[in-house]
Amino acid sequence: MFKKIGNMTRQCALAGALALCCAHAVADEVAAMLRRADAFRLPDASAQVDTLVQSYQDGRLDKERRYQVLIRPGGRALVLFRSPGEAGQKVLMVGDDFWMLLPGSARPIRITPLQKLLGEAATGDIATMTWSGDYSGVIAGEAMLDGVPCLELELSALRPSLSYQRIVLRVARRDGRPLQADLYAASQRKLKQARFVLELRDGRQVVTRMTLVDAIGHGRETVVSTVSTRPRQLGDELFNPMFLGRADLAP
Amino acid sequence: MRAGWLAVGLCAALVPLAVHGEDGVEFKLGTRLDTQTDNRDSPLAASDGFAGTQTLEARWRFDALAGNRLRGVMTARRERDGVLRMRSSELVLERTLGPGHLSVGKTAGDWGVGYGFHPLAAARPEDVRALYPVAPEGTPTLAWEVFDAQRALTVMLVNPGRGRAAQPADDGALALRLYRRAGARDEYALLRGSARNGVEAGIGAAQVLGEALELHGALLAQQRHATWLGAAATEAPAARDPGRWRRFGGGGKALFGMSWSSAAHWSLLAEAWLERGAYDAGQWSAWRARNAALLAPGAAPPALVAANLGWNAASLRAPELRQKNVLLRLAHEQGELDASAEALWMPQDDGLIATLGLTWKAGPWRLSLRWRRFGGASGSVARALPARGAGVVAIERAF
Repeated sequence: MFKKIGNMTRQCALAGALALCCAHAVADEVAAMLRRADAFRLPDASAQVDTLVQSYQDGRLDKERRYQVLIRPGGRALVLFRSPGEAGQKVLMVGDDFWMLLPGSARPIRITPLQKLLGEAATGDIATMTWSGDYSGVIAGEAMLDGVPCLELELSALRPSLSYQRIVLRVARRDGRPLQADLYAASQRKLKQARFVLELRDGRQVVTRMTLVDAIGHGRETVVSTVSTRPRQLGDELFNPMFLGRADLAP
Repeated sequence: MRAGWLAVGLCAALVPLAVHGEDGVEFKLGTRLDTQTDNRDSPLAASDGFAGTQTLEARWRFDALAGNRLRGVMTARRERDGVLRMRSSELVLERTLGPGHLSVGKTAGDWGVGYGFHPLAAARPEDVRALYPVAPEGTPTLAWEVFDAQRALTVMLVNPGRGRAAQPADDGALALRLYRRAGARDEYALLRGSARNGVEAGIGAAQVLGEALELHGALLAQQRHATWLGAAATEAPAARDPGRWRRFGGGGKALFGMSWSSAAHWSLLAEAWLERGAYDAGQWSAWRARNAALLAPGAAPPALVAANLGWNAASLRAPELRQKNVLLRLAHEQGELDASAEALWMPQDDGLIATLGLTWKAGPWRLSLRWRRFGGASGSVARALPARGAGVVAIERAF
């Protein structure tokens, strides 16, 4: 009898270890898929991205704003507002910590995750251009999107400060490029749907446009266009809030 | 007239810089209308009226030679008298120097924690409680700063070459500032030396808790402090301003505050602070006694009385009227509209200064309305201010 119990225990342990290995393998596979998808959005890990955000209401252009975003691995992003009336405003994100510098001020202000929203386009839409490192997930299934076979990834945020706590991401099966994402709040309420448009730039396919459709309704749509992206070496000081008041952000 | 053409010419010369990536110039053209209502209970009553001002503000930055970077703010203002006044409120040269960064020039803005009160300001603090804040006036500064990912160190010489000036903001001072980021907390330390206040040492912190709450606080200890005091009630009306800076022993400042924000774009700010350099109850009593003595029948010829009342009114222009203050600010953002309501309460005499604000922002346009009411208990200093109310309507267009 004891021999039988011993055998059963060994089998259970083996099954558990196998399941764990499978889970790790799946997690690794999803992480690899996210990295592939990220490469279409941000080809260089450390870069300067010039962005145009256009807000539409019932198909009519409502607002247009320009931003320059400096991004470095590790969840670091510095958003520089470039539109008239907002020029000089800066928002710094370092992981879960945020600061704002208002135009005409030299004092960076520590802000809460809720305060970092920038009107209709959340800071995350502009400054967070990668999913790997921020999300983990599983392959939920397959889908067909505009005739393109896709894999559907069910992603969960790794940090509570992220704008979207759950994402259903659809990537092309063939090359892993992102095509569509459903973006959810922590309450599981669907906030937006993002559609990605890719173009050939500098010999590679990159996401040049992301259209965010407001799921709550009211005919609101936001188009985030990447005007240009260039690799750039960005020093530690640029992501120090005390550096925000300086003008020497030159390349 | 010549200054006006010079202003236009300088601004036009800066326009081509806007085409360069990091370089640029932003213009803001604005018109504002100020109004105030007279406080008939005040011996220093101002007259009711309106005043219009047109402004052109240019903020610019560009690469100069040999790794230097220049930035500045220039303002041209035309007020009711029709005269165009130009001012360079900021002009700073920045460059790397060794492992750090050097800044030389007229620098605006300060440092540290606080919205309504800045205990850790090493130079002239930003006046965020002004009814309609304008480009702050910079202070001549020589600073060297070192940064890494988590910390910053600044050594700065404020108003180099000056010792004790006529006003504290113009004093020479040497300051050392330390900053450290510890996760969700920012930590600050200041060490400052000046002829007026001796050695000053302070610490401060700002901490974010959860998604919506931020707490902040600061303490500053001063070896000594100076307070502007007018003449005593027993002194005869003077032919020139009898007010003097008087030195007192150890001083200090303290601040505690919090801000809360919601997903529905509501925000609440609450701060309480202590400024020991402000007038205490005895000093305000002496101030009132001086006014009463000047206004006594037959005290002096009217012109001399008016002049002395005016000099005595300098006490009302102090940054803090009372030592203890509580500020509450509620704001809401709805699309292009920002609305705010603010109350500054001085518990020592129940003085109250309330402000309502409404701003409409649409692209490069900004329309702002502000109304401020000075009131509170009948014996409060706020009720002695020359104006009972003040308002601003301003429209700006940025380019």
